Amino acid sequence: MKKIVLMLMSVLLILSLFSACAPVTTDTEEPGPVVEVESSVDEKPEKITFWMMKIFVDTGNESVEARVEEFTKATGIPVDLELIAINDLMTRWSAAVESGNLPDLTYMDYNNLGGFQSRGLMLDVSETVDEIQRINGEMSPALLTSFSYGGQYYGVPMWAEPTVLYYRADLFEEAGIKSPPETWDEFIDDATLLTDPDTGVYGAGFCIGMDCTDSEWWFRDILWSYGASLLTADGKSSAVEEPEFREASQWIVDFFLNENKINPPSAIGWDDGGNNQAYLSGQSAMVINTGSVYNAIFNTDDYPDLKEQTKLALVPGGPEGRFITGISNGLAVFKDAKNPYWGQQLMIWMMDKEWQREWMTHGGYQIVPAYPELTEDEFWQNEYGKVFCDIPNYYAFLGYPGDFSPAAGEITKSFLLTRNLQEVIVNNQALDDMITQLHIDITDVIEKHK
Amino acid sequence: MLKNITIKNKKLLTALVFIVPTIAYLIFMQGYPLLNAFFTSLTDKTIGIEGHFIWFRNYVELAKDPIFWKTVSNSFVFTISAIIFKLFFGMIMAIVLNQKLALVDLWRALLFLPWTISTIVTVLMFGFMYSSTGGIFNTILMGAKVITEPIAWLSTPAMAMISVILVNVWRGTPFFGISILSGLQTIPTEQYEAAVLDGANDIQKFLYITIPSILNVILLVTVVSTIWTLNDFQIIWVLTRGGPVNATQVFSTLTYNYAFVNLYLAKGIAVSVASVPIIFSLIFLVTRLIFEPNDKS
Repeated sequence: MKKIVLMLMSVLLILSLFSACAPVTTDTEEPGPVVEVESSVDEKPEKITFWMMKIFVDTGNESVEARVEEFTKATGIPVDLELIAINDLMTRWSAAVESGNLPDLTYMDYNNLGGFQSRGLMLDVSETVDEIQRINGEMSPALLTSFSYGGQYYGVPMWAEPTVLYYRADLFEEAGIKSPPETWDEFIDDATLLTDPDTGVYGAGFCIGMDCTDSEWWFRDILWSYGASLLTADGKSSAVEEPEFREASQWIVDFFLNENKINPPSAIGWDDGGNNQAYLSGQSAMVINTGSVYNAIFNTDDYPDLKEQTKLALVPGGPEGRFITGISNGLAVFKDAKNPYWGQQLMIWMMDKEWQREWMTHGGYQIVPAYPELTEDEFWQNEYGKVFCDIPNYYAFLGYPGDFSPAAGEITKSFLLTRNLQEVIVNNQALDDMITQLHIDITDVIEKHK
Repeated sequence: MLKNITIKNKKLLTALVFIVPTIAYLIFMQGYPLLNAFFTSLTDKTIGIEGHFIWFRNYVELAKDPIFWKTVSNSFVFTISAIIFKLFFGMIMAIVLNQKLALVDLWRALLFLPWTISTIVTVLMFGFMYSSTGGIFNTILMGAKVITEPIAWLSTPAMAMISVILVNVWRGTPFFGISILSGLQTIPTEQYEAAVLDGANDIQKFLYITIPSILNVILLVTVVSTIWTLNDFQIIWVLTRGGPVNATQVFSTLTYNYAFVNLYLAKGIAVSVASVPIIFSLIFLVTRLIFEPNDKS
């Protein structure tokens, strides 16, 4: 079956090569980016480059390598694949943009994509996205939205990272808690019951630090569930002076300064691995994280007890409902890449649904595919998988209640929320002063992007 | 006359052979990047977008930014504290290693080890040791009943600064130790023997023979290490990213934040350029201290 699918894909690829001899233009009436296709079937480049994010599971990376090798076999074009750690990508992109030595295809998350797109650096790949969907079927509308600006696609969503609530069922039972928290208030109550200074167990394990992107995501889950946001719906003003924002911020501050010490004090210095470590070491009874914790527990033999004790649930909600900040990853092409056409062909190749069906099984449930159809696979049909693939239904993206904007991206990347909340939690700044300062900071960012 | 001119030309040619590469190196590898960086800092250049000349607006904005001044103060605290401790421990290390010890070469090699390990490995190693979950520092201190609760090494402003200084000191001390040791080994033993005959005690020998003899080494090592420490990036970035609440934000991390996190390349460079006068003053001061007495002599 796989061979037949591969053969069909090869035929499709070859057909698409022939159809690409003419320049690809956008269909919009307004003048948009035009792709001048310099390559043709007769003018194959000596090689193309592909920068892919290195995921935390070796087999997943090996699967990407194998897929790229197949592309080379099918086209005869060697691909210089670089698997790059997520923290190094921004530096690499920046240097590449300035030097003009750009990859032909690159991994990109929607947050950074917005920053580059607003500078006019990204290629409109709308037609390629249409082609991918024509070949493979429809993608998740929520994920597609995250790569769309002004009605055009500047990247294709490849996978989402779902965040779920991990909790210790055995400690819940001991504490007499019958079910996981549905609301943030219940979460505090449960964390208080679970905290036991004698055994060194904290009810929760949440970070708040410059090296912990999890805090930025998690704070937004809370803000939105309280009806608060950082930006107004039109994205043109700060919304932090609204009473809902104050209420949500107060919740966060109260959580960290809780008199019962329900969260490890060291969480202020954690990096993104801090909450993983806290849960896996038994220090924290509840954490919110991606599939990385699941992978460590269920795909290794390192934590046999936790296999029995760990359960998963949806992230709690607030008065306005349940919100989960969407983490959407994809592929994109820089406008000035040397071989944009072949970059897009490789993009189509990597978005093959059948390959994604195999790739998503690596690393527990860290990869929720862009094709909703794949979440109907048996792989997802268990008590854990069902929680993970339910997450995109609650997704909201940076910029909510409006669309994603480069300003929303910069506010997140600058850790403005974390930085200002730290002033209250670490330096005892008054909450109202923090809100005033955050308002100024956000307004500054908005002004810069006008 | 002709012979003289030829010899003169030969000398000139020889001089040019040595001078031209040096000047070319200074112009292209040092001067151009420095001037280019300075010029860029006078623009509003961001990654991917051409900059426009805005004179000193970036510097004015920095001067008004409390985070920048916090960064200046942190940079001084980090650098001065680290240098003092490195000098202190390096001196002790050198004096001990200068004694007639059994297996002295082995001890020298072992004490020099931290300097040879790559910085990133060192930082990650300390990151694990500082960890609140299973970190060896807290485990030992709690096991010895010195503390009852884990120390949040990287979570409070004061402890975070102490923690990053500790890593820098651990890594940098061997450089001081080995350099000072090499200075100590050049001191003739006759000087100490003469001092003993004159009735000098150990402290007097140290103050009046050892220190003056190795002063130039100390100054040189200090200035070099000060520049390295002032530009240290990896230790702070990996351990704290300049946090919490900018408590460990230094020139290099703020530069990186502006230039590569927020893509404001010109402003990031302005932060770096702002630190140049400090570094230049240090080099100038120490160069004068080291070479002026020799010039006079």
